[in-house]
Amino acid sequence: MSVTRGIQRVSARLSGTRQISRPIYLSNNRLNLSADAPAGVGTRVFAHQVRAAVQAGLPYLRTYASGFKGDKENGYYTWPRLGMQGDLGSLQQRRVANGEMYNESVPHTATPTGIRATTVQELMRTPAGRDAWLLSGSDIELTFPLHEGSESRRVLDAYVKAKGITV
Amino acid sequence: MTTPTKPRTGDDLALDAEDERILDAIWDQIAREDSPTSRMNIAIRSRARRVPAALPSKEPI
Repeated sequence: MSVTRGIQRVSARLSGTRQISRPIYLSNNRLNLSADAPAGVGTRVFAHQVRAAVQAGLPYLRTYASGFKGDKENGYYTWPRLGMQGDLGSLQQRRVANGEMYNESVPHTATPTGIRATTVQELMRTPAGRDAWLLSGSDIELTFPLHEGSESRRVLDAYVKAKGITV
Repeated sequence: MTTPTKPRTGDDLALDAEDERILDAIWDQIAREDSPTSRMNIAIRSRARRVPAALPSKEPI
């Protein structure tokens, strides 16, 4: 199956320097899919990108994931679900702990409360944490460590396998 | 006649129910493996318990 149908825009670039302190990494800037994009095309693009980045010897991917519950963008939720990791800001930690919606005007069920987390990957590990981030989450800076056995790769590899996606 | 369509949101384009179920299972597995009570950690602790704290004395009682 082609991985190009339904993709409106993919924007990525290599950033950083060859110095040890700032290694070269792949920065994902945009992934826009059309409304009629086949299911799973975003994951397929991402899985191919990860494979290519691993082969190129890059240490990690980075992206700025946008959106919130009810927004037209969903990267803030979808990319962490697929294994991307990131630190929560203090405001995000507070919203999650207090069960505050990012956008209160969106109809929603009761939000979980009392969840203490400093990273989005901590939230992904429990059902309540996942619900909390879906409802309270917002834009977040994320990375995807590419070394063998990283939690990010374990999640993506298992998902790609379960979906029968050939990379 | 055209049917009016509401603007699509990120929710419409996000993971579907099957994707969510698969990912829930994967993350639950990750959480179990990283837990201090995971099978590997229990095995290590069990092995540690089988090692006597000190060798029994060889002196006759």
